[in-house]
Amino acid sequence: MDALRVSDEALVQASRQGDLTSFNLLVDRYQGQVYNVALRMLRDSAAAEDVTQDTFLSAYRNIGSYRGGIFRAWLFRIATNAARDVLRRRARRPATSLDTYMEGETTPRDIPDPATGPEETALQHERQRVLGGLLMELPPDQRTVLVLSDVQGLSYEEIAQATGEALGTVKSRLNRARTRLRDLLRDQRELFPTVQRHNQ
Amino acid sequence: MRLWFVRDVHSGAREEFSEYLDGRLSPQRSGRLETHLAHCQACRDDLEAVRATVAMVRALPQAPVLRSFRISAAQVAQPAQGPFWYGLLPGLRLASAAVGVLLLAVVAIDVAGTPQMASLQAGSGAVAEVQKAAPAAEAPVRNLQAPTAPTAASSQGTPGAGEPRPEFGKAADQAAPPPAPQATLEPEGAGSVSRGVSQTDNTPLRVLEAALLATAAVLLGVSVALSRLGRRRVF
Repeated sequence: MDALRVSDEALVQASRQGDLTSFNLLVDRYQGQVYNVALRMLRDSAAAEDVTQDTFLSAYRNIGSYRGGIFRAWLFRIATNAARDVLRRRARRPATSLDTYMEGETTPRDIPDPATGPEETALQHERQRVLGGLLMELPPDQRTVLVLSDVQGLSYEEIAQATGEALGTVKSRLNRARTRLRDLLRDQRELFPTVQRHNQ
Repeated sequence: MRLWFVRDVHSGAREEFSEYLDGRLSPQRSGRLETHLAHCQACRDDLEAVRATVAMVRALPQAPVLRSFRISAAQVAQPAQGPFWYGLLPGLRLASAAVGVLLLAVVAIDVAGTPQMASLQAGSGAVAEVQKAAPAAEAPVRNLQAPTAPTAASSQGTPGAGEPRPEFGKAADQAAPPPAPQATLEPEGAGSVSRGVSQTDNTPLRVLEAALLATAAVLLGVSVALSRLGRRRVF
């Protein structure tokens, strides 16, 4: 079976019959996206790995409850729910402060552009590190829609399916998330000059 | 007034930044927004700042996956883990069923006990009730004892009047309709006496029934709510 040509629907149908091999083809297809959503929501690679594994295990066990639609959105719903559970557990343990996750264990890095000098590369990496940390200052529901939209490129309709929210709610929440993140970036004037107002 | 109006226009414009940047704003609304932006430097700056923010987030690199997340048959065979209340669901359902069975048993005892008590009381209670309402009761008794002075009431309302004597029956035919209270006196009296007695005797059972019903309702409601919560979390 050519994994690249088989549609999600066909693989889901086979998975419903207990075909673990077909389901693992879906895992191969979406594990990177699910892991990155979890990583951007939790900023902890170990926790993101746990969430990713739990997501696919839960998806296989409950494949019968998948009612059609965009399979990726269904997966993201399971993943974001699992990530929120982690965040709630963290909130109940105040000893683990937000600062720990502001630093982040793992900051994904771009492959350095040879044309870019080392200083610019370091500055770019620093911006990405700070931006990843500032994402954690957004409320979980805003962070979720922002990550799904701007990190994973989901459409409004996919985000609505992934979050179980109305389309209007998704739009307003995304707008608030982006606006709030912009305001947070404005506090880092030296690192993010492009978001400043002209009169500042 | 004017200042409030101006501020509202800016707030309205900013609420549409996201959709505008994503190309999801209708042509009409886009036109209005662009007209406003043409005359408002502050909103233009804010829009460009949001545009830059979105671009930076989109430029964040994707972290590579360092291992495979394929699942194995052994992992599938392991029991599912979840919130603490997942484990409570089977117990809640069993408790609901047990309370329901107990409730049915108590109700059955209550229902089985009520007719017996009614029949026990019917013999003594009905006579006692009739004797209590002496003016009404005396007439049928008197009439039974004095067949020469029949009345319509006695002929209709008294069981065991036995074989009607001709004059008695004729009088009955010609008489006014039987008094309704007396006609219904015995069953009503017997019922009221038995009800009165059973209400007193069965009160503990009724209280128990109410308590079991409330408990079963609470247990069932909690288990249904947790089940739905579990299903909503998955998909």
